[in-house]
Amino acid sequence: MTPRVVEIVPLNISDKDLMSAIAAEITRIFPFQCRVGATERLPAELLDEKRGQYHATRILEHLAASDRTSFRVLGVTTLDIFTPILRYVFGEAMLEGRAALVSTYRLSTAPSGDDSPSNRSVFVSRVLKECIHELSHTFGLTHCDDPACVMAASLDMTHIDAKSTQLCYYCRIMLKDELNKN
Amino acid sequence: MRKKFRILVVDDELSIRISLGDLLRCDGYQVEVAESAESALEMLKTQSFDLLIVDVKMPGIDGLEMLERVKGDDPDTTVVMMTAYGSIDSAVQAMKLGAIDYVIKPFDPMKIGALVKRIFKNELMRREHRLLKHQVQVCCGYGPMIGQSPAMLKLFELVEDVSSTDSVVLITGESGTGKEVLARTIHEKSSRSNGLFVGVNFGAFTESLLESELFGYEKGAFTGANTSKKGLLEIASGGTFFLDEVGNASPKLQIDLLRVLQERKFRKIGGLRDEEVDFRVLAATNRDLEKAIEEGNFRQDLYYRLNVVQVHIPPLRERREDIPALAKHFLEVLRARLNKKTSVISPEAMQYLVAYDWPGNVRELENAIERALVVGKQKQVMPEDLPIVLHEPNGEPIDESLDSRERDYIARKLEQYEWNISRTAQALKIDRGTLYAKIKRYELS
Repeated sequence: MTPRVVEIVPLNISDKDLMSAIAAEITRIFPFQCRVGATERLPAELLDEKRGQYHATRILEHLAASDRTSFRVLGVTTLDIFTPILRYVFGEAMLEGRAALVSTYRLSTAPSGDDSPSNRSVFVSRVLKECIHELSHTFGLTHCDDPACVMAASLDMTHIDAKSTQLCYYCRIMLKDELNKN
Repeated sequence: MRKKFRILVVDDELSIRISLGDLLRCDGYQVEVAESAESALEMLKTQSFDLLIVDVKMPGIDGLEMLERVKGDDPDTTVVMMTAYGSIDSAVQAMKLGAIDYVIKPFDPMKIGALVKRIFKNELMRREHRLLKHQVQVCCGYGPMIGQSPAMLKLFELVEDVSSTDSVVLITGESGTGKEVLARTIHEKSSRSNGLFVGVNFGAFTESLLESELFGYEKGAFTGANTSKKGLLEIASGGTFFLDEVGNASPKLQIDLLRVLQERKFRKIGGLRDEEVDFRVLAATNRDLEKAIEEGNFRQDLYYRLNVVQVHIPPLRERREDIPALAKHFLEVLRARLNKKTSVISPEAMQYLVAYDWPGNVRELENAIERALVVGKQKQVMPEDLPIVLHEPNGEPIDESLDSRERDYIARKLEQYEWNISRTAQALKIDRGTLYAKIKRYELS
């Protein structure tokens, strides 16, 4: 049987260390292999010129429709993304679908140029949490009321920083149930 | 189990329907969408929703007109209006028409999730309030405690004494004597009257259902437990917890109850931590618990926890002087409810009422008055309006005739319902546990 693989697709981003960290975190949480694809550029039509942001739902459709062999696709981008109903989003996923997306645009800790190790560590931690969060949505997990669970809704940076990279006990059980179904 | 909240999103713009639908689904809600007010109104004819999120500006029937129609059909419907073109006028109009909120698209991520969560938190409180109100109504269905007999005056005195304390009270008495009403009275007179009165009947539900209702459960505790649920023990905290027909509690529930009473703590099903509770405990039973202990059917340690103060309600046959006042009270209450003009009980009918032994006690008396009002054609209740059983002579001495009469009556009903326990218990207006106990006692099986 072909092993199930999660593919990370860097979109307009070339941070190899970050991609490796995400891949390591995914294989820690999920029982899948993970590979990092080549950096891709987003088609210009996915930009909403009026808002100056990229349309997250359309990016997901773009990722899901592409000819890939992996059973889950996680897009990671530096671009600012939105959904029609929200001013901005940190990430977006197809609930029980194939594709998930995370934007690092609003996750940085300090004005650009501040690359101090502590700032970098906080930034990477936020990205990892959002990646696990969005990928878990593709396995049917919904938002969790436990603020420490990675599936807690992240509405601003304080929420992201307050939660761990772990699924809580109940979300772990539900993820296991979902994986057994598939 | 608490159901999943259902939301209907109504917007003519596809991208809004998709993105708002996805957003809410990720929060665990069940979401349906409609592309117009017309189609939403059609859906509302066959489906019910806990919340409608409706766009103001739509072709055809617009959002405000839809709001007006929906509120006209059901004023309790919760509606949030949304618009990309906010104006103070339309906001004011939406609120006047009964919308709960008015939001501008696109939303701030912080606001929409919190708004929906707040709405459903209030909705849950409303549901719990309704549930408890219903329980209270059921409790009070037999009317207030009425009586001038020496036995009842002594009882009222005792109730006054125990109400001011926080002691556990065990209320004993035959079926239909008004044990729930008395428990409610004690709660109302106590310092916990601002808290809730939560009652559970241990004879009415299966062990597993009772367990999840009592203790609640955590998300994921079992298949289908998508959200955590508060148990009645938690809801009762701060108020009074009433254990009705506690003699029917299963051995496992008896152990669970003992732990709650001893430690004032419990753990939700699937929970990892203990929750502390603070409520007063009142319990009631129509069983002889001391006999049940001897027979090994009731835990002695639980009995000692419950039997701190015992209050016994005498059967109606032992306080016949209270029957006229009770009968008049039920006549007043029921004639208003049934819209009947009958306003008096004739002296002849009253003689029958006082002479009868009332094995079903106050509840049976209430039923007899209701029947008389339904079948009676005159302005006063006549003997012929009363149930036929009241016209049968009391032959043997009271104690023996009561038992044999009850035995015969239950046997007849069991035959009538082909030994279907649920239907027979329903017909006799007693719970299944009590019926099983009576079958055993009278060796009917």
